[in-house]
Amino acid sequence: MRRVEILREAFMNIDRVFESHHELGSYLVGCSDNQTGMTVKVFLKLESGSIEDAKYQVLGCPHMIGLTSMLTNEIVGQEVNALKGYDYLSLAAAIDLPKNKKDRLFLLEDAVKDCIKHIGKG
Amino acid sequence: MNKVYLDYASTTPIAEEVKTDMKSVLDKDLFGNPSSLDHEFGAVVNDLIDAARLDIAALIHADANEIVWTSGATEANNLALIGFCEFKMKDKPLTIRSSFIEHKSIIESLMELKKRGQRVEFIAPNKDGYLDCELISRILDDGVDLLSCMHINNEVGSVNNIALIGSMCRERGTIFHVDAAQSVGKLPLNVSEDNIDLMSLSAHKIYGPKGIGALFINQATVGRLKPLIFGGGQERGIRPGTLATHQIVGMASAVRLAQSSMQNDHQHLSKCRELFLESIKNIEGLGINGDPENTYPGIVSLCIPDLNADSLIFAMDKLAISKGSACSTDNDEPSHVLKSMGLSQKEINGTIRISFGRDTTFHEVEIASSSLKAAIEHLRLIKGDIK
Repeated sequence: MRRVEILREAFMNIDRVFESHHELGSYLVGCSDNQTGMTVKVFLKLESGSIEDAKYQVLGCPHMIGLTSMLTNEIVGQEVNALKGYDYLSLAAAIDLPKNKKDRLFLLEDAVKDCIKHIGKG
Repeated sequence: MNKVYLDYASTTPIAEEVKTDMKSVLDKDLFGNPSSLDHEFGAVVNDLIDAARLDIAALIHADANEIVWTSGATEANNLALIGFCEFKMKDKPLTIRSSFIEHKSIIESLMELKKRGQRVEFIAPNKDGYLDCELISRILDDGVDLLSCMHINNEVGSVNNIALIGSMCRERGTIFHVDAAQSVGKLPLNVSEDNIDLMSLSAHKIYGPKGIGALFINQATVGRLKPLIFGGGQERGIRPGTLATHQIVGMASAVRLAQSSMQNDHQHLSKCRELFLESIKNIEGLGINGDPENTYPGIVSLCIPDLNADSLIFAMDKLAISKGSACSTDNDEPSHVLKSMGLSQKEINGTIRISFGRDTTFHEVEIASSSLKAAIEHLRLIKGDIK
């Protein structure tokens, strides 16, 4: 599949979008934003140290949405500790993220970090 | 390509009539250098260029000897501003005024002139994206050597009252340059009645070829400009270089076509706009940038401030549309036009431009409105409760 098609598929896929009917209390929530008005929210539901469900909300460009959609798809079933060493560059490579949009990776990483810092805080 | 093209403010496809006329130049033995008047090969193409010059002049009510061929409106803008100032400036700097809504080729030419010592200032438009004539009048009263403004704005479609601005400039002895890249062949232009001294024209916005444009230079008020390039006497030495016969013939063909279909085009675009706006009027949180009473109907600037314009465009994969100026899309900078109109960062981030053309069908307008609705719904779902 061409990279733009991978991006489009991830962009159009709404399976992992956090919607109002989801039970917010059962998720850890992490958020990050930047000065250009982009915001990423990551929602993780954990079960015995592994990620049972991952959802997202994004206000941002197609790449930001695509990256977040792909990440949340990939990490379900993984150990939450694996997120600390997650290879964000592999996401960038999969959609051929333009160099001038590399900051989207940092935004996503910050949202994930913000999310997992709540682990153990009840 | 399978997309509905709705980016006519960026460029237009070449009309069949124009292709035919250009092809006739390329197919026949019309390869002579129009400056080689010592033989028939040159003389024949020189006649074609003279005829084309007459066509351009007729459209704007100028004399043929007031038309100088350029590579497009960007070069015409550079030549008008830099050429005028370099020719006129003697021992003291010139006072130049323009606006923040101008095309980059105006703004960056003027920034260059500022570096060279001219006194340059930019005027803010009103909230609808056009110049307030009372403000212009007051500014001109302070003494301005050159005022440059566009006729139709390429991002929001706002229309400046060039007739009134032209008369105010002429009364005060200010040289008036109009960037008519978006308006030539679309709105009536009369350089004589509107007191225009310099005017930049483009072919590719009116179904002509890219790479050709023209600059009108009022012989009575301006006369000469300093060339930007050197090495030949073509175009009275103002714009040297061998003329591109097929491009020039193409521009003239596009101009004739535009002149004959101007009224029909305007009616058709007005209908497209009306249909489109009617079908999207119930979309929550959607605004239209600019004043509906003072906007060119072919350009619709839509503002959906809770969403991201890049994502809207990406989601509408059936359409070929843009955020705004095609000349600024290589960088992530917010539109200087929208910014100067006072739009907030969110409003700028959520603005897209849809521009209709002669070939746009009502069915395509329906596709555009349904695509827009679907895109907004998709992105609002993804955005959730993010403010």
